[in-house]
Amino acid sequence: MMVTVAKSLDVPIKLLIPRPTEIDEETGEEKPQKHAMLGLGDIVLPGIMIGLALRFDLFLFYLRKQKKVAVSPKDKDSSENSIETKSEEYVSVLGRWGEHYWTRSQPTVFFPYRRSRKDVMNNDATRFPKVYFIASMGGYVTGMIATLFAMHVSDHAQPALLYLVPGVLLSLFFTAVFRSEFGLMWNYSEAVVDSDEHKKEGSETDPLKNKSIFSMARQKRQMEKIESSISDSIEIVELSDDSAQKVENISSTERKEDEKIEKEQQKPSFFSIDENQHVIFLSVTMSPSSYVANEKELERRHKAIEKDDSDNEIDSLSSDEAPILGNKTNIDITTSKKDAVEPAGKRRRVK
Amino acid sequence: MHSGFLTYTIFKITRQSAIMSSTGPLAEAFGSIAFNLARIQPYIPTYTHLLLSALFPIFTGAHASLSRPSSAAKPEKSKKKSGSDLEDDEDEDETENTQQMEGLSPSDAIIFPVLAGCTLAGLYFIIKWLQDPDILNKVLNWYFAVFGVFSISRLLRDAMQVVHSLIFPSRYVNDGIEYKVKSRLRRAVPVQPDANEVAPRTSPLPGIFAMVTLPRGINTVLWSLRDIPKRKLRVKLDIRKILRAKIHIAPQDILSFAIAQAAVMYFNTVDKPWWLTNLMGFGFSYTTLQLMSPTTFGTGALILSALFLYDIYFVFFTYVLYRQKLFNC
Repeated sequence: MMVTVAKSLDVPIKLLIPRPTEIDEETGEEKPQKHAMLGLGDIVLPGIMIGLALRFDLFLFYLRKQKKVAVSPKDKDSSENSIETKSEEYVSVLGRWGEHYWTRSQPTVFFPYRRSRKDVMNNDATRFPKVYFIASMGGYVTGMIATLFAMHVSDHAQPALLYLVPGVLLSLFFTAVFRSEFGLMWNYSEAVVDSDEHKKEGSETDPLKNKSIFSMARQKRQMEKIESSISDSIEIVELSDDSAQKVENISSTERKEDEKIEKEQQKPSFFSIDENQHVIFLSVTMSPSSYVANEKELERRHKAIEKDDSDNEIDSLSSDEAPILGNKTNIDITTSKKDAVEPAGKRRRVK
Repeated sequence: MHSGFLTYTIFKITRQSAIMSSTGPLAEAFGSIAFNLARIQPYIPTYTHLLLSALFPIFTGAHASLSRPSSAAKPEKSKKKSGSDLEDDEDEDETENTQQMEGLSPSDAIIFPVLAGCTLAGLYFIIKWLQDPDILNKVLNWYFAVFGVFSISRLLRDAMQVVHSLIFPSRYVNDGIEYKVKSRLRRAVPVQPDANEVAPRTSPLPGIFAMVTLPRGINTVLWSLRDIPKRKLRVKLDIRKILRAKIHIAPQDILSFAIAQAAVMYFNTVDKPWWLTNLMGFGFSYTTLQLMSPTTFGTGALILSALFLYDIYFVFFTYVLYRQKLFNC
């Protein structure tokens, strides 16, 4: 059944690996190309387990870096120091392949100097021991070789999961048992702890209920998650009244307070423009390049950085409004009711 | 005395075998190994290819799914403390963009295989009824196309970033000294312990390649090339009363999207070469591994065991029940 479906549907639900072509004995021509197939499910399902193992390795790495720190009591009544666990700050481990290659420890022709493995491990916060990951990958490879062997010997399709699942699960199990970490492994959970907002809304507190993908509560939670994750980029404005009228609207006094608080905190508004002036506003700008016109400017920057380590030069170098020598990369397309009004902060001043 | 006895027995055995012309067991074992190796030799590249194609999306997807674990603290927002850290934050909104993974629960472990089984059986009967699965193919292809573009563009974009970081890393070690590359200053500066004795380097290339002093023009070009992924387009869109958006688009996003779009269009309309199917398969698995997680090892084990039984049933028992040929070549 599976084979028929996989062969009839031309949808990319499988990987096709070309087999060596055979030559028809009678006609001497090549037979049509046959392929070995591997369903995507056989990759994704053990894959999520292996991904979990890798994240568990990262978890263990940071767990071992946690320290017990004595904290002075907040209330003056108790005289004892309470002991808190202090966690290490997370350093992103993504996108470090180039660094890892160019700072690795093995001596080669290009790198005659050898850094000891301990030195690299201790000093580089982006490298961590991947014990469970390697174990589960080994289990997967063993299962795959068993599948290929069975397929070759029996000459018919094999359910790959039949060999992969015991491979991955047993390798993880035995690694945990040998390292006496089975309790940690079993209790490890990636469930997101509910934030304070959820607690205010009085959502269901039972973490196990309604966690299924197929439940309605889950759909609601997904929508909330999506909204919060894109709210930095995209803001859906209400379709009701004009913003000017909204301010006076009693039901939206909260919004008014928010605006006040925003102004007080000097938080930059979403756009630094006057929103009422435009119907459609589209602005496409390029971030400033670090191109310098000549050596003098480079020297100036060197000196500026060496002199003061304060925040001043951060503003001058990192903000959008940094003067760019000779580059004007701004493209403003505005269709506004009042063309004369130039939005503040959009033009770059060329010094 | 003993060695003499040993040589005598060996002599006797070899004489025996020479006379009777039969091979010893060890030689037979070697012989059969050699014979079987020769028999499977044409298939070794196929099987190696299969194994590597399966490992590649798992390896890359698992590494791409790494994010802050619960045992680590959030990095403080005072990222802009010192000027030297400017080179490290590639992206201000890197932490905010990490997608939440969808966790699976124990009840999913039961629902999944049942649902998958019903889908598979349904598809099988539809194919049998339709005789020509052309329309079904078309519908499913366009359905997959949307996710396909998204996932392939993600794969290509991350691949480009890896290649870029291999050619222009932000840190490297040469001759025992660690250098940190600062693109604003256009220098590779040695890190503290050796900072006094060694002068900073002007070339953006890593390692031993930096020792070559390149002409100024080429140097400038290389530094600009190094900066390309960081030069983002900031698009702000405000449609009054409807929507406001602020998104960052980098050149690698645009390029990967264009290639992914072209690949999917070609796949759907022109032809389906096996390597394009594989590319789409890689894209799907790479993206899925970053979006789905079994939450706990227990749930994962439950799901895998349920699907283990499901797989056995559908490949072997349907043969018994439906007289479906196991291998139609």
